[in-house]
Amino acid sequence: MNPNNTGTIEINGKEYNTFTEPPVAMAQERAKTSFPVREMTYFLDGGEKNTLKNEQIMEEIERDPLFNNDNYYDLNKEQIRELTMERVAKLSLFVRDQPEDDIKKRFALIGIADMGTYTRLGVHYGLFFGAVRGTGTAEQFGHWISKGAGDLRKFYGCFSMTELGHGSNLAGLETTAIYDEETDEFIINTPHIAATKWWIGGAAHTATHTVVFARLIVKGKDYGVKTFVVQLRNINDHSLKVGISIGDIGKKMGRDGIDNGWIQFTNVRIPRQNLLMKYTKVDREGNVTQPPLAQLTYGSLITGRVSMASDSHQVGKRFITIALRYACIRRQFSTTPGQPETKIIDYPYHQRRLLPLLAYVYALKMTADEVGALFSRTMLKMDDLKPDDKAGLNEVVSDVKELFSVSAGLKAFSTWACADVIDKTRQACGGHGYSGYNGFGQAYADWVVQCTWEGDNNILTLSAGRALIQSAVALRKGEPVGNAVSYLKRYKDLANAKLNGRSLTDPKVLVEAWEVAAGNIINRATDQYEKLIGEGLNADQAFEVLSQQRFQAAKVHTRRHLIAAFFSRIDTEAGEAIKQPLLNLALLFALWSIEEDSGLFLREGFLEPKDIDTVTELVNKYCTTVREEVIGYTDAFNLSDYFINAPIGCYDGDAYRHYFQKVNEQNPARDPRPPYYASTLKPFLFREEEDDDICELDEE
Amino acid sequence: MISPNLTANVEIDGKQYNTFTEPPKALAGERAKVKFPIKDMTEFLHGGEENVTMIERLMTELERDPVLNVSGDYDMPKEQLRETAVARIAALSGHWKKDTEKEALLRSQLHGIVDMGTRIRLGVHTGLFMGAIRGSGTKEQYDYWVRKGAADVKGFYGCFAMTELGHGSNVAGLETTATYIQDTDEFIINTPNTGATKWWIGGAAHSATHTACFARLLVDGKDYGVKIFVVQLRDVSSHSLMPGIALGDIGKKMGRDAIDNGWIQFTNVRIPRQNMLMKYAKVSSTGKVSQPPLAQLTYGALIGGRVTMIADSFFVSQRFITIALRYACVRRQFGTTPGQPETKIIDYPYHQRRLLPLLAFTYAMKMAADQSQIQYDQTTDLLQTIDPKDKGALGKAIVDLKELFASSAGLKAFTTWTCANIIDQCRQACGGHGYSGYNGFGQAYADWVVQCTWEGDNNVLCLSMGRGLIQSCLGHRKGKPLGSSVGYLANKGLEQATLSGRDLKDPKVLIEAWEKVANGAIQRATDKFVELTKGGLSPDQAFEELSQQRFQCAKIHTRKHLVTAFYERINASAKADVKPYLINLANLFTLWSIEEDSGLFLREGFLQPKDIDQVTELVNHYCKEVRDQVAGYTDAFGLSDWFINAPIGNYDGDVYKHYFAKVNQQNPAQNPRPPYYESTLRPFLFREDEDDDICELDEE
Repeated sequence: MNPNNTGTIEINGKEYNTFTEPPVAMAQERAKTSFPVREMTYFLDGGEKNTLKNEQIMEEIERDPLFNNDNYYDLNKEQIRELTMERVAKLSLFVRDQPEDDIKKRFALIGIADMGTYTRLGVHYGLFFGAVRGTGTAEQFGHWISKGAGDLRKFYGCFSMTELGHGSNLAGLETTAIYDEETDEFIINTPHIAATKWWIGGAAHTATHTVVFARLIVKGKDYGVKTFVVQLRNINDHSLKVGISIGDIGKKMGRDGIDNGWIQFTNVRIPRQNLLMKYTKVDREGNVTQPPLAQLTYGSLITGRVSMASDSHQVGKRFITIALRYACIRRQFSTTPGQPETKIIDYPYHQRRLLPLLAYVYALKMTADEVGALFSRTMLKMDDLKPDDKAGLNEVVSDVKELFSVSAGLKAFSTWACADVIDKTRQACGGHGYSGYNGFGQAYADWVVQCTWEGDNNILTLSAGRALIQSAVALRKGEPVGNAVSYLKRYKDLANAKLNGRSLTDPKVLVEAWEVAAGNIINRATDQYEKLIGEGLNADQAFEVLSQQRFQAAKVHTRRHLIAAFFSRIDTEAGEAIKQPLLNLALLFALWSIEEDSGLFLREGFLEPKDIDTVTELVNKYCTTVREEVIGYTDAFNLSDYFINAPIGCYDGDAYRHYFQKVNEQNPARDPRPPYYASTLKPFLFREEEDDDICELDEE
Repeated sequence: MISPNLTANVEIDGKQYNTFTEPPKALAGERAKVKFPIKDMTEFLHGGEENVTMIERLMTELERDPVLNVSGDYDMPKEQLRETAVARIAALSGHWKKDTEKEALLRSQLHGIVDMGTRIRLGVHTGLFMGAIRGSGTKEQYDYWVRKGAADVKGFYGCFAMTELGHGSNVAGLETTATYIQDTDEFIINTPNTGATKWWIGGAAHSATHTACFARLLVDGKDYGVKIFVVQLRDVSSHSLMPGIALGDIGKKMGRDAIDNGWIQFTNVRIPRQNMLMKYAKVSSTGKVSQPPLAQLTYGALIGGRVTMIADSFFVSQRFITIALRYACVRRQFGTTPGQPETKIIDYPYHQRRLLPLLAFTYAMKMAADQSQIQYDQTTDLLQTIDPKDKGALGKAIVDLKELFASSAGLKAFTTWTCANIIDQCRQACGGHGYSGYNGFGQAYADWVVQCTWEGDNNVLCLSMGRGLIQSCLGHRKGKPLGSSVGYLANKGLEQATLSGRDLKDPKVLIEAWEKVANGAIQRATDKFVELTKGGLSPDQAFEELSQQRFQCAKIHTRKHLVTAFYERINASAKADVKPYLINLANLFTLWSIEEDSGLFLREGFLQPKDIDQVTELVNHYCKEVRDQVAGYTDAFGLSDWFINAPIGNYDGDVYKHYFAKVNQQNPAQNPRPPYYESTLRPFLFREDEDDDICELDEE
């Protein structure tokens, strides 16, 4: 007898059930793709050459038994820390032998499969090494390379910036570095427990040296926070140097592979030469010279932000792939009695939950690449700069300023978007999204720290908003502004622009819509700013009053940037075969973004209430269109099952088989009695109440 | 020695404090500002002095029990959490005999604030298994299973086998079969394919002896749909599996590791006919099937879980909003005036906006939760006492039930999402320290979010509620009576209502604003529904087409519900000394909700663009008002440090001291070498390259 008609599906004359249908369904979905997937991959990677290089590196990672991730989700903190160390050791071998661009690619790809290892290596190569290179002189850099910092031999660096009581406010750090003229040394000291260096990745287990951020104090004068190299452990036996106290900060929400620790310095003496002196210098007599332009010292901070925008794409694509593949094979409810249940991807509401996020993941890549290229160009200019080239210096400083604010907003909104993608895709997989083996929980816990470190997202956003208002102020004074805000020059046009019956599917109109919204918010905030200054507030106070407006300005400006970059990349690079499919995605992204913030467009008068209905209809329409090619769009991300590491998201779509198998491999069925049966469970189930008879009193 | 960092030195009442020593002083200062009696606020929140006394007693009993000590929980691996959960259940079992139903529920809810895993480990028996027996079994059946030990968990542990690998939300599509065999008067329970494996079954992997199994009733080849059957899984005395039962552990999950979720397969398992729960559907020994007259009645039991989850959202949210706000009162960051101490983060308008609306939301959830609980108790009492032959009374009870079904669906969805959002936003508001395992956010988020998926996936619930709202509106247009929660749909005046210069601080105006937008959304969706069905679509197809609108309707209606419930409760039971402070919170909640969804109000024409500026100003205004009393609002929750379980959120505000101490207790500093120093780290740091000389060839 046939117990459940809804569970039985006939495809090409063959019968399938809930368990056996999924791979067949997946193959059917794949066959629908009308564009060349390979070409889409090239587009995403920025050309065939990059794709081939990525594939080569992915294969090297995936075949290395040390990088086998079968057990990854069941490892406890201690196990994962040790495994991470082994992986770091392996990766460091590539650092020696390969060009920098390949190394960056390798690290970024590792970050998809193992965020802990990526960062544990990053505390040395990104943070320690970056600080020595960025703020040390050439001789200093050479010295630490000769000590082993270049290839991690008898050397492991970490980065002691944040303290228990101070994080975002670097200028308020309390660790001191007092120059002792007699011995030509600095004395590094932690004045009280709240100035303990905290969260220091690599400190608890690994690091021999650290770059420490401390207040430079010479002859009683406080010169603010500078960076110093301090040795933490003896090289030969890994014991602590005199005056160093270190502890493990233990359990975190995620990233257990990183040995974050705390460090206290008690009158630790280091030679004067350990102050990184590319910008600030202290000479033997205690004369201090400060850099002419403080902005230059921040250039190196931007590196991290730019790569985090790109990481947001890398991680986002993994989870959107899982959820969309699962949606193509999962059936739920039947709209027509007697018919098979509907695939969840065919529910308009499910499409709306996921497809705009797919478009968002694509958009992140375009903007990350664009800002990355701008960053590389600026750094080259900076390196080539002659010390007496005033005009050149001004230009570089203006570029750095622009990059600083663009990368701030982008880092914030892309890392938030990625967290949101992981969380929403998890929910879209229902209960199976909650299983440890489909990776969402681990990835969310590992990922979200990206929203806090290297510039807390809220603070970055507020600072980007401040820069936007400053740009508008500059424009009003007739001063030049950077490219990213050049649309503000059309202030008068933007103020009153309306849709006026133009097509909402025209990229130009959509970019204009966002420029109108962003331009008006920025200009209105600037009006308020000028008014507050006129009333006697200082700039800081005025900006404080306008914090909500700054946040809004940065949010809307960044969304405008993502949209404009998406359309512009399609224009310049997309071949005919993939152009329309990409436009469909970009239009979905731009229109959905309008719908999400419809109040903005109504308020600015760009749209009328009835236009919002059109926007909604168009979002529905593009969802339907994108849904058709959904497997093509996700296959184009080109992630193998190793990088997906979630049985419900496997390429072949055989979700239940892989998932059931994975769960049973990791939890082999043996004894139906738990390990604590005799000690805890049985005594509980078989407990007996004691007599509750009460002593009888001889009472009258 | 000079003072290295003036910004960190704060003078209070003539005494000097530093970053480490100031926090408790700062929190005491905040507490001194509170102008309302906290006791009265606590009594308002919990519905009177009697309830507060009961809650305080239960909290003391929980916190003093050494077995329930949660101080080591954040470092416990899965295996240990699972065993500990059983020990805790055993400890709690001592209270079962004397607790009233109300006390038992409260005890469990309070315990759930700090230990969500254990709560549900027990809940799968007491809530789900027992709920099924009570709700769907006859009186004799209930008594029978109580005699077997089900009531006091002796020689018996129940679980609830509903979801399958391939089916979750669509309960009607479950594939496990229960085939009636008249010869032996038995059912045969069978899993027809791997996709029909029971999956996620809490209690199955380690604990359960019996399960309430959802399976399709098949009699004489006819499928009667899904019913519930009690099946024994394990032999009671040895805990070994019964014949035909296969089960396994589903292992690692995102959170709730304390629960032993498992999978179960049934291979022709025979159970007596009497094991089918027969309160509604019945099968006689001759194979005659009688179905209940009203299917809705069988779902009554599901509502209990939802109503509890609304309250749980409040219980958990209060913990995290307290932590983040206490921390905000002592953490200083940046200075707006040079030379002055840094600013407390609670004094940043932007930080206030991040947290204070969530504080108000937390209060609002309690009001709606209590209201739903009362409605639920009344309705279930009515259903229990009703004479099934009294058609009129039954009809009325079913209207109440349907209304509760719908309103509890929306409230469950939006309160559980809000609680997840509160945990996440509060974590981010604590910066890096929010990411520490010891401040509880990561664990709580991972544990909590499954509430958005289980007992009715939030998205599915919202869509079903949206359908209900459109149906109510249709019914009203046809002259049917409206339930009280949607009574506003009959208010013709709403169509023309605009703010027209009225006061946006007037609760009546604010409620009207929400009624107007909810009415507008529902009426428009209903128009569209009528249009689509006239155009030839079936109701199901039309509803599918309108999924986005259904979601919107549910969202807006539920927000209106929360807003209304807040003001109603204030009017009904707030004492004069707390009333203005509650109005401030309720107005903040309502106005912020308007600001968040300003597009709605512009679109419906209730507000004009310039009114939005006023809304923003009022949100800022109420943020300031509420900020002033913030220590009072959070103290009123009445949570001791044991329930807070986060050193940065302790009552005394001595955050750095407690946090530093906690980290060091859990990770005692011993050896600076990690456990894998000899095996992994040292060989890596001291590696030597092999000679890379290459064999020389004798080439010409």
